Amino acid sequence: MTIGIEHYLTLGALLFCIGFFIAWSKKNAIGVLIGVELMLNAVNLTLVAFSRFGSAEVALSTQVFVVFIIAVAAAEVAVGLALALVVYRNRQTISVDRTTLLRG
Amino acid sequence: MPETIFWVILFLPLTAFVLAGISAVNQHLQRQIPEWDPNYPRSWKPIADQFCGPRLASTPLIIALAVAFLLAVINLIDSIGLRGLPLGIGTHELFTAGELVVNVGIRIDGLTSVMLVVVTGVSLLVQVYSTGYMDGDHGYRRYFAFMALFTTSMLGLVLADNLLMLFAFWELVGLTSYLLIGFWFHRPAAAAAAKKAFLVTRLGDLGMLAAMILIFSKTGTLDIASINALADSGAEAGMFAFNGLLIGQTAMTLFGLGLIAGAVGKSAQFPLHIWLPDAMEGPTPVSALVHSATMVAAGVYLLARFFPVIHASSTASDLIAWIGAGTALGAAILAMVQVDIKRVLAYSTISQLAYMMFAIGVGGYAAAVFHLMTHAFFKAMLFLGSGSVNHSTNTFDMRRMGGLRTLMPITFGTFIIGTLALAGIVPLSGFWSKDEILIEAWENNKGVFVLGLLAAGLTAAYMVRAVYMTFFGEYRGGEEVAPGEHGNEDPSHPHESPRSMTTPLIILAVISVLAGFLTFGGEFQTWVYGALPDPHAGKFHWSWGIFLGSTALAVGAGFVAYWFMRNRERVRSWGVGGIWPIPEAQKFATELFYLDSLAENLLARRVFYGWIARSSAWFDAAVVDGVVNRAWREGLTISNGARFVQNGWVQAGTLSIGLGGMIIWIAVVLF
Repeated sequence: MTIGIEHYLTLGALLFCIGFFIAWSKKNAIGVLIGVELMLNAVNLTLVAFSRFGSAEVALSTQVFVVFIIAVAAAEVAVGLALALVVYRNRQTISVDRTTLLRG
Repeated sequence: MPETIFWVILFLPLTAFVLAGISAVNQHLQRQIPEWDPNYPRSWKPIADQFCGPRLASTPLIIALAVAFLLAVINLIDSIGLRGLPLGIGTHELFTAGELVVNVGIRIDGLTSVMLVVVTGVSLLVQVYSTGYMDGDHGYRRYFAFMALFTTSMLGLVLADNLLMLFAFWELVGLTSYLLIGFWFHRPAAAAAAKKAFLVTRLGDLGMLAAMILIFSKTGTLDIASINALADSGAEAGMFAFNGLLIGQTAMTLFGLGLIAGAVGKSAQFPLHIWLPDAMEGPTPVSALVHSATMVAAGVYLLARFFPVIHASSTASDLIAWIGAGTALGAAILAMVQVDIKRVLAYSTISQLAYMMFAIGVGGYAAAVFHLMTHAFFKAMLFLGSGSVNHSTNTFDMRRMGGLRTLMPITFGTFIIGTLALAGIVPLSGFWSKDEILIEAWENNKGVFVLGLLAAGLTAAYMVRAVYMTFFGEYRGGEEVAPGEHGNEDPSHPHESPRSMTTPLIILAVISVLAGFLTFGGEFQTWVYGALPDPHAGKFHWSWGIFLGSTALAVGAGFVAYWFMRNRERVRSWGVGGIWPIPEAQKFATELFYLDSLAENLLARRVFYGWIARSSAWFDAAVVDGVVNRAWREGLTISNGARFVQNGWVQAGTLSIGLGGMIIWIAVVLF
């Protein structure tokens, strides 16, 4: 069996769905962040697969995309964790269900 | 004269209106700001009082009218030199909307020149009189502001060279009439009278508006000269054609009827006459200027202006002839039983306007305009005389007057001259114009002539009755000043009015005596005929038969009335009330032929209030409000249904993002 693009894409889709499920079902803010992280990496995997199997032009732009996403994900985690920390200090919880100050 | 002069005539009273308005607003502000208010710049107050006092309201208006009157007289002399032919005065485009080109322009011909002199002249004298009559009234400045606006509107009406401009000023005149009738708006009667006048005349204006739309849609022009030339061209095979314009006989008739509707409303003819007697609630100089001499004559002016149109259709001319003849007689009968001197004069005005109306109907165009002019002078004088009487007795009720002959000699003398002129006694002005009308009627329509002649006899009778009740016999004490009003503090000792009031009376009396002589040689008629599409020399009508007949009738009726008034104790002992031999007839007349109650109870209450207003209210509540209310209620229901989405749960939000993404993905894949 040769590993083709379908396998990469299926794996990427599965990872994305698992990531989404984690982001959806977790009440812990850090858990949600982990789910989001997984989704981003699923996208990265998909893009890398395109870069491997596509033409040279596609390879270049997808790789630029991937590097970009990694950078943004790092920034997002840094901000997200900092927020979680501040919320915990103020409210002694990081459950997304309990931080409902803005709810009307 | 150059065109600028006429714009100056129009804008002079308008400037006075602005100044009087500033003065009135200043008065209003002074009342608003308490003396002790530290924020009010005190240093301004004396300046404001000095320059924006009551004199700023009246003096500029009198000066403006004096100048305008002089210019009008110079113009009349010019116009006489041209034998009343139209001057080449320009017209200017105001704006264009599709096919409709709206012009403002001035048309000067014999008719306009005469009207200009009448309007500025009577207005000037009335304003001088008003400075005495309204002196001390709280609304002095507001009064002069309205009067200035009224004079401007009336001048614009007679100067207009197209129907749209004429209509605009026509409505302005209606508005100022409303404001002036309701001048003492704190009196319920005055407020109601103003509303009544406004609504009733609006009914006629509706016809005029319809006529305007009709003529524009048929011919595409609103120019007075073109319409008249078109109507004058004569119908061939049911079509009028002139200079590329084309209109059918039916449309021309309808146009004439619409104009008649407007004129009947404005000039208080049957069946829209009911507003004029109530309009006497306004200050007396207003009645003199607006409701006898000028504004109500605007209807006659309109029909004279469109004389060829009225006579392009026998339906229209017959209609106005019979309306006029009927109104002339009916109003004269009603004037017989009034006890309020101003109401006698009001019904007399309706009757005299009706004379002009039927004169136009029977083809006596110049006679109608002539009577308009003479009537304006002597009726204004009679009204001012009644105001002078009121000034010292505080009442208009003739039962509270009497014996003023010796106490107010100038008022009495001028009133007598007015009475003789109105009754048509030779050689006063009213005689010449009334005889012209009667001769025209005799030549063209015998039925109208008979009604007009009867009305002439009644005119003498009701005026003699009014003069007797006011000036003869014992003085019956007048009336105390009503609380909150101003007036003579000592009505038990009436005195002659101040000179500012008697001088206009004397001037008007002189004009009333002399104005009739303009008719000699047909000169006046020639100027006025110059305004028509086929100018021709007018002729001076004379008929010994009608002269003797109408004079004998007037003098006879006057003496009968005098005898009845003189011996009313004896007449009463026969079991007869008032001047009428049959009590039922007396009641029928005092109830104004039941026309007012018919209009109020049946038309106003039952038809307008009961049906039209109520169904409109239902429509408003059920449909207009219903749609709006239904819209917000449905919106609320939908929003309430959709509220669960915005529940603030992060997970629900995440789920909807996921589901939304899936839906988009499926859509992209499938389509």
